[in-house]
Amino acid sequence: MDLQGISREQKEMGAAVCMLLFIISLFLKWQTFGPISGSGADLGSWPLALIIALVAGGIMAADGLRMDMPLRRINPTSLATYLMSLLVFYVVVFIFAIDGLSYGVWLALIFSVIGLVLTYSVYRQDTR
Amino acid sequence: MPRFGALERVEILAAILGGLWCGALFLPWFGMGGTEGDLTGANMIDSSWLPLVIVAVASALLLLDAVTVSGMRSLPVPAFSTFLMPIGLFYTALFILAGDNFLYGAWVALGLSAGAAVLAAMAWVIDRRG
Repeated sequence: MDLQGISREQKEMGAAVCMLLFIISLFLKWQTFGPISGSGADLGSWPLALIIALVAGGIMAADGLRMDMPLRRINPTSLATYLMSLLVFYVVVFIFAIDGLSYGVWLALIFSVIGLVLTYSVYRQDTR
Repeated sequence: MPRFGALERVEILAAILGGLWCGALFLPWFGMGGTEGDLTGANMIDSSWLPLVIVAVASALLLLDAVTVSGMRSLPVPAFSTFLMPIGLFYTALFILAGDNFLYGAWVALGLSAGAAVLAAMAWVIDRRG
């Protein structure tokens, strides 16, 4: 897939939508173990993932909508890229750790990776 | 004894704290009420090797960059380590937020990972200033 053909704003809004979908996937089924199932929100640390996704998605949406952000010394897209890489790490840690993985965790991985790729693409554009 | 500059000193300190964080993973983090033994940072989850490898690589790179004569010019080590080192802090924070009945190991790991992340960032800032 060629990301060159997508405009900067489309990439930013796409990354923000991915973060929204990631948040929704936190509430889907992540683990099925016999009759018992659990969502991403059953993990004790899920509020941290939620806050990171909200901040990263918010930064990308605000930048895509050309809103002023109170970030003077930090490049907003580099911050969003870093936060999204933490989300990928978060999901991968639990993929390796839990048995009986269900569709929610795979959706979370897909949305966090697509969000990261789109944001990184914008960051590379900024730094060139 | 070689004389180290500010960048090398900060890199060595960050590498030491990162290495100590790897060791702190094996300290008791959470008490189980004496029933099943204490949980360490390493045995409470199967994927603890992942942050261990990431922080160990970041620490080794910082140490190599500091002690080699011309540094590792092919890789921007301070920037790369600034990206990797906070993974240890993130991992520690994940379980501190999720758990209760903390033991000293969790707080030691939190302090070490925060220190390593800050020092790696300081090395990056010094490196950028040249």
